[in-house]
Amino acid sequence: MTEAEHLSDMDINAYVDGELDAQELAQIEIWLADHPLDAARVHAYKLQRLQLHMLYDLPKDMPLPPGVREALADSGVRRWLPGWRQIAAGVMLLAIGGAGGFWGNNVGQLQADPSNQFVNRAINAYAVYAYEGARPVEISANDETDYVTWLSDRLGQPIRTPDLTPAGFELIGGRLVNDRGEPAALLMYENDSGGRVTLYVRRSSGVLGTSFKTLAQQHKTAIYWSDRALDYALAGEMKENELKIIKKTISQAIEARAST
Amino acid sequence: MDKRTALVAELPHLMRYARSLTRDADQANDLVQDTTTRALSRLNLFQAGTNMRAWLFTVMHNLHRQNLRKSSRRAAPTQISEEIENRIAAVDDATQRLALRDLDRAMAELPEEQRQVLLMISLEDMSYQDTATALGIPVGTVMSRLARARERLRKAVEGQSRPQLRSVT
Repeated sequence: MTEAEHLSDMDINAYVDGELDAQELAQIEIWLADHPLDAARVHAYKLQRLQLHMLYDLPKDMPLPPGVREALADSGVRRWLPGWRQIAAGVMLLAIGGAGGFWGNNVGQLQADPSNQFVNRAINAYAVYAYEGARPVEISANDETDYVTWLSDRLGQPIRTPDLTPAGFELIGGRLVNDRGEPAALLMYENDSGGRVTLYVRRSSGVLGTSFKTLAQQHKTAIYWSDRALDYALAGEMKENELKIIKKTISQAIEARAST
Repeated sequence: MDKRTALVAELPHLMRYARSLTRDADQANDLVQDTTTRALSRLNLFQAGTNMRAWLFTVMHNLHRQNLRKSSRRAAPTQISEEIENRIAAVDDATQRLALRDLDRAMAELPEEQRQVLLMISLEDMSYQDTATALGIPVGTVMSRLARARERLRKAVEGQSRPQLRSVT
């Protein structure tokens, strides 16, 4: 530093922004006392900071925009989130208890509606909703009820959401969608970095088996299965390792049900 | 302070930043609303003890980037807004008023990547490291963008704002 004519940009900025330790700070101050051109730049930058505040500071009493207030009031998300696992667990017991519905149906071999069409619709639903930056889920502002339960009621069957936390995905919400005139549920999971996968659920058409299958379509993958009451398709752009964990999780959940 | 309270306390920073970034109150409000919604839904992922402001800015920038990809997004207007013009008009010193107008115009003309860095550091008092994290770029890049932005602004205002500085914190 002492050999140069001027301070570097980095030194001047770091000085102005308080990014220096005490020793560096003292050195710069000694230098500035003897170097008016550098001191003038420091002065200009400090003035800039002050002027930016003059230009852009908002009035202290400025109210939050209505949309932000709504977002804060809409604690539906918060209220709903923590409890979902318990609810999902309860729903699962309920379903197993009513075993007639679970294993009792003698589902014959399939006719029309090939599973591929269902899976394609699930992938399309993912493509439509998962890229929706800010409004991926539909949750009413004063939603006191649990969303999974609400959606389950719409389908007339308990939805069993797989726990994807081992793969880093948390359930963040859901919405009701139209599956060729029938109600279907779309549940959204999100990971730490904003990556999303969706679970598409409809009443079973009897075409899917209870062990899962996968279908890859370009970058997207769908994993689909049925619990005989409902058909499920989990879709997303999953990374190799995520896919591996997710498959394992789902297969364990299915086995756990089968052995109960 | 619980996480939610900490989040609410940072909202004025998000608002000020979003406005000066987009130069448009409606766009800024939308961005802050979306950021709030997403941050609340992911609050359990925020690690207590880390910097809430830096985390929120990260969330906001991910959203902002997604908006950028949408064709519907409007570019930041270059003209001075009525709100800011009123603020400038309230300043006594004529030279200072000129300097402020030049500065706002120069801000509008900065490449957005430089404006982001400058605003986070100069206006929101974020550290170089937090700024780098929020924008997903190396600290070295933060420093070079900052240096370029400040020099451009200084040159734009040069000649107008020689008056002595009265109070600098």
